[in-house]
Amino acid sequence: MDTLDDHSKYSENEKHSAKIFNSRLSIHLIGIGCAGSNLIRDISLKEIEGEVRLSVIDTDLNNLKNLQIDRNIQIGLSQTRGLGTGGDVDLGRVSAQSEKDRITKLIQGDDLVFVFTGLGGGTGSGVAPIVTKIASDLGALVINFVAMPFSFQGRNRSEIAENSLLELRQLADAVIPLPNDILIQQGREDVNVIDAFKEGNQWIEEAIYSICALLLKTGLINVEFPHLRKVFAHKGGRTLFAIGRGQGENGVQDALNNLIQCPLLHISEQSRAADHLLVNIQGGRGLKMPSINHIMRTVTDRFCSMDDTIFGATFNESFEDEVHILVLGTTDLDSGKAVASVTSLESKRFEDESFENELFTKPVHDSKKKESEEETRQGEFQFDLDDTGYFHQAEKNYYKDQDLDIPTYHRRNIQIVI
Amino acid sequence: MSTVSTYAAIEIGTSKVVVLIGEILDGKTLNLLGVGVQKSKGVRKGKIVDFRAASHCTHTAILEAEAAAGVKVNFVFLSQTGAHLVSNFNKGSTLVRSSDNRVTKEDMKRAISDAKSKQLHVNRVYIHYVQNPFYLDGARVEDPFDCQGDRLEVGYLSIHGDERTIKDHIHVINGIGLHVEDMIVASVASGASVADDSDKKMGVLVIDIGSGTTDYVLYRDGYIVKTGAVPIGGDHITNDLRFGLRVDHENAEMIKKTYGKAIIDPSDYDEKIWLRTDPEGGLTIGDRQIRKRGIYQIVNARVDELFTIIQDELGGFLDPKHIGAGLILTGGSSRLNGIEKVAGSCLGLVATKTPISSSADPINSPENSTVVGLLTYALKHPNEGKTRGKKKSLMGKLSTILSF
Repeated sequence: MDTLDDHSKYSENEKHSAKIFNSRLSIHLIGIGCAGSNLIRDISLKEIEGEVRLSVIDTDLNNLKNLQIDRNIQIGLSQTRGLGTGGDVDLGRVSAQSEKDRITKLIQGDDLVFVFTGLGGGTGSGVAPIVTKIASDLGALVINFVAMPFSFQGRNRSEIAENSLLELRQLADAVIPLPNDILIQQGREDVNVIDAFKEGNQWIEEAIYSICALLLKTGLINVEFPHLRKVFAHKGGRTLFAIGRGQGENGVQDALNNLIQCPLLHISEQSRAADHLLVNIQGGRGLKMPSINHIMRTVTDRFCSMDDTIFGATFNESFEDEVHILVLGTTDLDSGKAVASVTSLESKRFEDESFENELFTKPVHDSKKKESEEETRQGEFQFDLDDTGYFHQAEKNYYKDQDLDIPTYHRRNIQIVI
Repeated sequence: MSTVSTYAAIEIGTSKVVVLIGEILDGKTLNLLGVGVQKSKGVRKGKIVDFRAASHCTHTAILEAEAAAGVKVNFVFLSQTGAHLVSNFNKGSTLVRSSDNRVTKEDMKRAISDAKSKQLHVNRVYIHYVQNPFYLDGARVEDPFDCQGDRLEVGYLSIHGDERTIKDHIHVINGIGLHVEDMIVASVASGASVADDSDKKMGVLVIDIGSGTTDYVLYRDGYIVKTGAVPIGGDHITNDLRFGLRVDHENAEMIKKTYGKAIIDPSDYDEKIWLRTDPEGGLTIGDRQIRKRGIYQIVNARVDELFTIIQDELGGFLDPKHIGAGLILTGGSSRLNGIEKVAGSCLGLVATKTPISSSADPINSPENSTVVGLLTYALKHPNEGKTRGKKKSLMGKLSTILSF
């Protein structure tokens, strides 16, 4: 058995390397169940439409028939006779398991898989974890968007949803829950049901479009697929996800305000701070560097992304003075990474500073470099930077790139009058 | 005697280990029974770098205090300091679920658990949770129960530290067969001892400058809104003087204590002092004169940097309008001449020092504000020692890292 498994893994790797040579990123959007298929039906990915594969997996035959999606899988025919699961999670699970091979074939070769489903029902809660696991095992980066049931749908349903959410967090690289309750809270009085759901789906559409555009289009500042993988290096933690939009003269500030007020940030299932953050800014040709700097400063400050922030910016021809910001982050839960006492002092502003430095340090001309080297060669008393005297035993203290154990007057270049 | 609990407040500081033994009578009055002070060894910047040396001086201090008090210690309260301590302000928010938009106890519970649920890295452990007021749709409410609104928010200041550093401290106490009842962050303890309730209500910033670390705590409207530690203390001033004036550690310490000024005082900065190498005080070869200006420059640069860092750390919290009671400086290094002027101008607050009384009175000296605060804390939370199991509270804290 073992050898067989090894062999299959080996061939898997080979396929992967072949794909790298192919260098075409394969993105796949899979809707599961009724909620999933609705999204797939309605989603519009604008100019990158053709580059993302769309599929639907459902137990309900009628539902599938109405769809215009070329790739769909009907599962659990022998279990449900094509009538849906009726809220039975086990039935959904069994249905998916019996069609494992077909699902594997569907996902095989994908780099990035978005799974969308509504949790709490039989198909969503039963099938989604299995699809996620298959995709994850095949080596794809899996991002789940899950709709959580309305609280009026009862405790039973929400319990099922909560359990599946926990299960998905272990399996997927990122899970973004979208409680349906928000639709009620945010919806104005005059919005009809269809529009309310559509508005909810718009968040997902925007997010998927934003991530895909980031990867597929050549932008102002590019983000490659490995970057995205790095953000989601650790599974199991909560995901942070928010979108902000702004338009007009104060588009940047509006977008930031909109982002911070994003209702998705105020639900308990979401994290409010992130250790790894991906920020994507979409804007028109008028987007300026100081604006980007301002956005990044505010965002890293707000979400305390101490460790790293990956940042991309893309131009969108159709945007004039519109600005969209997408924030996607993860928290380290079990990374086992040490937070040494030295890092604890570095405030979150340090992060900004280094980011700024990265962006704005001008390249130094070779002649200049030599000059500074020569300066240090002058016969002046040199302070041994490693010698912190009394503190040589203790751990070093860094604060904003400065070793605090080295005398302040020395770092500030104060001439001491003795 | 059986109804009396004896508490020991222990601070394993960078320069000294202080053990105060007090008893609490009828859960109200605090009686100071004994004091044990030892020069600490093997501790740098609040961190134990030499375990055996640190254990030895701590144990000696405990025995000294027990001998002076004539009682055995029941409960130990241990202070924690060091730059590894970080306070995070986490906001928990929830949508009010009931159809009539009235806040239920359930909503409050959910908001609180949400605020507390920020996960930590594996080797970090929570020390305190400090609750801040509730906000309902952005407006502050003392008790939101049954109020009407959509979004309920509550802030929690969670203070967490490095698990290993904390375990090292606990291990020292365990080594003598005592159990640590609870840990209190030094800044919170100092705040409790030097600021009274009306200060806290008006808003006050307490900065405790020790020898290895500086702890600060900011109260606003009676709540702790920010606390932290900067790994700079009096030792840094001494070390800077040592390098700047090319003198040895003892002389640098002497210069700091006798002539040190945090401001560059033009009235006497051209004066010179004699640096004597002879312990008898006589003139010998190698003696030299040092101009006071150099001393002031070195000390000023360091102190200025310290307050600049604190200012930076406080960021938007530093608003003089909300800190009516100003700044209180305490800790051994607050004895430094003129330090309140630098602090005041740097932070834009009215700065005062805790009054320095004779060193015979351990309760009122600025060096001991942390350890006195620890005992005060024990007095305010007298039931904790009795109701909880011996190690339970501590294990509870350590176990938080294991739970989800």
